[in-house]
Amino acid sequence: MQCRFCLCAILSSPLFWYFAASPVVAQQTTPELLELRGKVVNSVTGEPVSGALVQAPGQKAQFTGPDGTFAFSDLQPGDYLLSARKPGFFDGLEPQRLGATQLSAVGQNEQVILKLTPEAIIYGELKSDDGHPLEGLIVRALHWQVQNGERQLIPAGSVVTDDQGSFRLAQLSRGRYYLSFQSSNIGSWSNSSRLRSKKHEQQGYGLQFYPGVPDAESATTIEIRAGAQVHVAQSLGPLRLFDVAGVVQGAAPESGFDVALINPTGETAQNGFHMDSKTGQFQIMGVPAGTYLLRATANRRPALRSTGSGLLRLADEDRPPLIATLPLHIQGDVSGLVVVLGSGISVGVQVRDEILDNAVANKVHQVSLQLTPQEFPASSSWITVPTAPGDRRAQTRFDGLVPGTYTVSANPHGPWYISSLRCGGVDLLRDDLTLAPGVAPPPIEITVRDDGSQLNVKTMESGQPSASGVVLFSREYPKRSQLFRSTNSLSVGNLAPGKYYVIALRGAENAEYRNPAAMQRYLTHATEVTLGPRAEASVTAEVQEPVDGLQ
Amino acid sequence: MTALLLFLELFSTLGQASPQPQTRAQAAYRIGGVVVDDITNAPVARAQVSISLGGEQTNTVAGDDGRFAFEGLAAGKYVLSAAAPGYLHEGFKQHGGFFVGIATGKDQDSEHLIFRLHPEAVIYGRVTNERGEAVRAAQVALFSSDPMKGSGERFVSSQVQTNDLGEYRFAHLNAGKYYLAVQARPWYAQSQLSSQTRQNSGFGGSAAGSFAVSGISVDSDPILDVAYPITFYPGVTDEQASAALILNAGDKEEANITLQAVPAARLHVRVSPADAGTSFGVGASQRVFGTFTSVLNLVFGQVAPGEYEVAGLPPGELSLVLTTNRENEWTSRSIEADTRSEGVIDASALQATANVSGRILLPGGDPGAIAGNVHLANTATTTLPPATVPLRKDGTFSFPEIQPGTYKVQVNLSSNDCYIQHVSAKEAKVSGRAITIAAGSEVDLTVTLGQGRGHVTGIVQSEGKPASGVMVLLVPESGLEMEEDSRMDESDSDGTFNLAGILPGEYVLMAIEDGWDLEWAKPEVLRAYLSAGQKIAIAASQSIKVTVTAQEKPGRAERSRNSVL
Repeated sequence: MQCRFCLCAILSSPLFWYFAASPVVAQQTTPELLELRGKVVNSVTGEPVSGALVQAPGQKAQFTGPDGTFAFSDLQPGDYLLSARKPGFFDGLEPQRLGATQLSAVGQNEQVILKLTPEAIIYGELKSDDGHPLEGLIVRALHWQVQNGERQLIPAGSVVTDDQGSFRLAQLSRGRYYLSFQSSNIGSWSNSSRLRSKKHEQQGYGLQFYPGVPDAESATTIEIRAGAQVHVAQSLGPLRLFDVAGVVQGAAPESGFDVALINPTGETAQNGFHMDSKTGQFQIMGVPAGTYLLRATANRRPALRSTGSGLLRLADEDRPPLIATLPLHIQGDVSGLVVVLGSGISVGVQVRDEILDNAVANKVHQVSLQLTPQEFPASSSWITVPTAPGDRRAQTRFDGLVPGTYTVSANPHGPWYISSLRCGGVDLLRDDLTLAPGVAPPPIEITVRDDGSQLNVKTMESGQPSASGVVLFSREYPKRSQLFRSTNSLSVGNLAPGKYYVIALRGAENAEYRNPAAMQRYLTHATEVTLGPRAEASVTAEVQEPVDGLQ
Repeated sequence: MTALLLFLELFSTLGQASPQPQTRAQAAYRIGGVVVDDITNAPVARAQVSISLGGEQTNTVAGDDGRFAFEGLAAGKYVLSAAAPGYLHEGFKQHGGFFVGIATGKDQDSEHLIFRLHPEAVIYGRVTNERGEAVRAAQVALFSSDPMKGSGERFVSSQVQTNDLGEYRFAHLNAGKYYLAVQARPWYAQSQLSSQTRQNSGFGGSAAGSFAVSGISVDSDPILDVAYPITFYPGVTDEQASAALILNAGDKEEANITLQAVPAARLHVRVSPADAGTSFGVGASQRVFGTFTSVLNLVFGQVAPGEYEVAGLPPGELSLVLTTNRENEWTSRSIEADTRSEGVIDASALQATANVSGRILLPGGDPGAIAGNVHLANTATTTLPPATVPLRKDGTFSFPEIQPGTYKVQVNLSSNDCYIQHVSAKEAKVSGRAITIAAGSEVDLTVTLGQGRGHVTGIVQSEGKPASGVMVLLVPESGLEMEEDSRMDESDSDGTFNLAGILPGEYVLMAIEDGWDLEWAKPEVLRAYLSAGQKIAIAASQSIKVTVTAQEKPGRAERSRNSVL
């Protein structure tokens, strides 16, 4: 696919490799200038990695030789942070980056060893039941990732099968993956007034999972270690596909509306679409059986219009667009749906700003608020409150919600913290929000303050500094818990005052840090700290190994 | 017949064969024949065959002998297509976007069709670098000529990215001549800017302006300050030296390409003081084969007040697009640059623009009744959108601040039937429907519209009988605007053809057997056929029916194969 034209500095972002870095002290070869030798190895096999790029600040970069070695000479005494990289390698789940204060004794004789973790690859062929290669199916590798403390199934990579049905997914880190196969005939979108009448039963590949089942619950995971190359040969049979039809009410005929059918992992599986903006009728074709969220949105009028000589200007729009959502369980053709834009449950948001500090008080203190339906974790809604002055398009409340349970999370956009998050009698820092049918809920009230505290954490293992992830867990307000990636020294500001358990956890990226049941087992060995407003504290935490269930 | 409805939907339904006939009153006709391999002449067993009329489609599967039949059909003109694994999915006797429609009815023989399927060709290979490593995520573009354009120009027909092994693959290809171009960035490339400024209000300065430099001025490491030039098969960086891959039907051709890293180039751009301090963006691209714009990776930043450095570029000629954003207004400017020339590119001097204003004329009509936009599309740089202004109610328009250059005048009107008949301008050079504007000029543009396009239908005959599969070509007699104003079709099974949307004027109509490979947009090629063509004058909204005799391509000893046994 063609790279799009970017308007800002394009620094090559090495998406498929990371750094393995460690500081070393150069060895003495002559009294003044030193030499630094080392080797880059594959962290799984121990074999040397040739052609890796090794860099030390202020020195010319080098590629390692066939034996994986490198040498920097004529160095001044001091600390050097070395890094190595090569396509096809990661640093694994924990970067070995150590702080500059981490020093070994002067005069060590060993070679420096830099480890790179090889990528894993899943490759294979997709065939139809009668042996023909299946071209044009989207193959995705999905894994559980924790976002905002909640587990979600997220794609780690996707690729389309070629004319031989072959696919290759590279740059995978070790873990457990689901493979999904989706027909890419998202095809015909049409705005015709003549909606198609169905002649005979439709069949298609829809969305299926390895080893050939129609949903994620019955799917089998593929477990891969670092550097593994796993081959999958899969035959797929067609699924019965259905049509979903109905009418959307409340959209302006000239701008029209948009309808999407999304499954719990956020994918759209239909293969065709008819819409008539004049009558509001829509027809979604080729949908496999399953659970979906239907979301209809009124189209905005175009935001940018050209005036001449390539000038573009923002157009004015008076209010945010209307939406409506509807959960559907599809087992057969569905017709006669009525989707009323602007219907559904609305939840307003009120912000109480208790920030007193003058330097900060002049700005608008924004917080982004996310509402995630439990049944459809990939279909979150976000708003940013309070809205910037003059921004008439911004949402000030959540609209078009269906009854159900939602997780609410709030993230401040600056040096302030959320001191309270409530909806009526429900404390959203502790519990989820349940919306009952036909009941208008009270607004969500957020209070922001800036008298937060600072916490400095050093992670240790048997008396030595050791890098690991850090969870700041609040038992009283679990939704206030935070997760920090691997480090050995951490400084967090703007923390809400209260009691925290500091848990140093190896491989914490997939910890369900907002789930008290998941964190319970680590509390005994965690470091407790209670912070008052505008306080500063420094603690150490002993690194714990994750108990089964985390990657 | 033209393939207006691409048959994407044709085989998306995988149900059983359902040759349900359309039962209408006099539904008594058949379409039938045999599907064969164009090279071996062997039947293609179990090919999927479809016919379509007015959006209604019927599918069937050929037998093991390749034979197929559709029964109980009403009289009409059907789209016939077939597909089988290993073969192209084609319409009957398809050439580019045209194929032969099947006419059923009295006196039509639609039951003895030989449907020749062409085995598909494949081009595949690996992209490696000078270090012998596979290059991931390289963009590989496949170029071929488009028979419908008749100009021999090469256009991108497909693009893919290499995988982790550096492999790429293009499948479902017709026989023909292909070219490959690869664009990638070395994975280890890092280009540093020579210095970066930081605003420091405490720093006074002379009139020349002094500035604070933050950090150490880092010289780029020559090992890392590299780029890959766009590289063509078989591994050259000069597009004139690129070699064609000549494919016959069914060929599987391997084409590997090695990229060589070269020192990256850098450019300095000076902008006007008015632009400095606003949000600023730079993009760069290179033209490939004159038709394709390949976007380049780069690094840029401000190195002195009003001066930007762009680094990490491959050497050679390229187009820079500078974009400034001031109070939500974006302005884009395009500058041609050559990295091998010395000196600073002075973008501030390029502020000299021209103003273009004018009116539309509609003889015999009220120009005020037409609503729509007028566009000026820059013919040199395709990365800039065309300048667009709306038509005012009195039929006038004006473009402020147009950069000098050559532009095609286009209109986008509420009434589809209107077209540009004539363009004239004061203070600009006019050629056909294009104008060339110089800096600082005040251009007065008059666009004369016409209303009512013409229509030519008819029959192609050969030796007194209707001839199918013949290329029908209508070209302007003046030879101007060949690409835009010519019309083409392929005669159907009953010899009929249909040319629509024709701008009124004088044309020459030709029917050329097997003319699909001709570069007919070149006058020297077309000359041979013009004399045997028919002169036709088309007035606004006029429909004409003609009979035209097929010409043979000189030098073709054998007749092209008939569709009728």
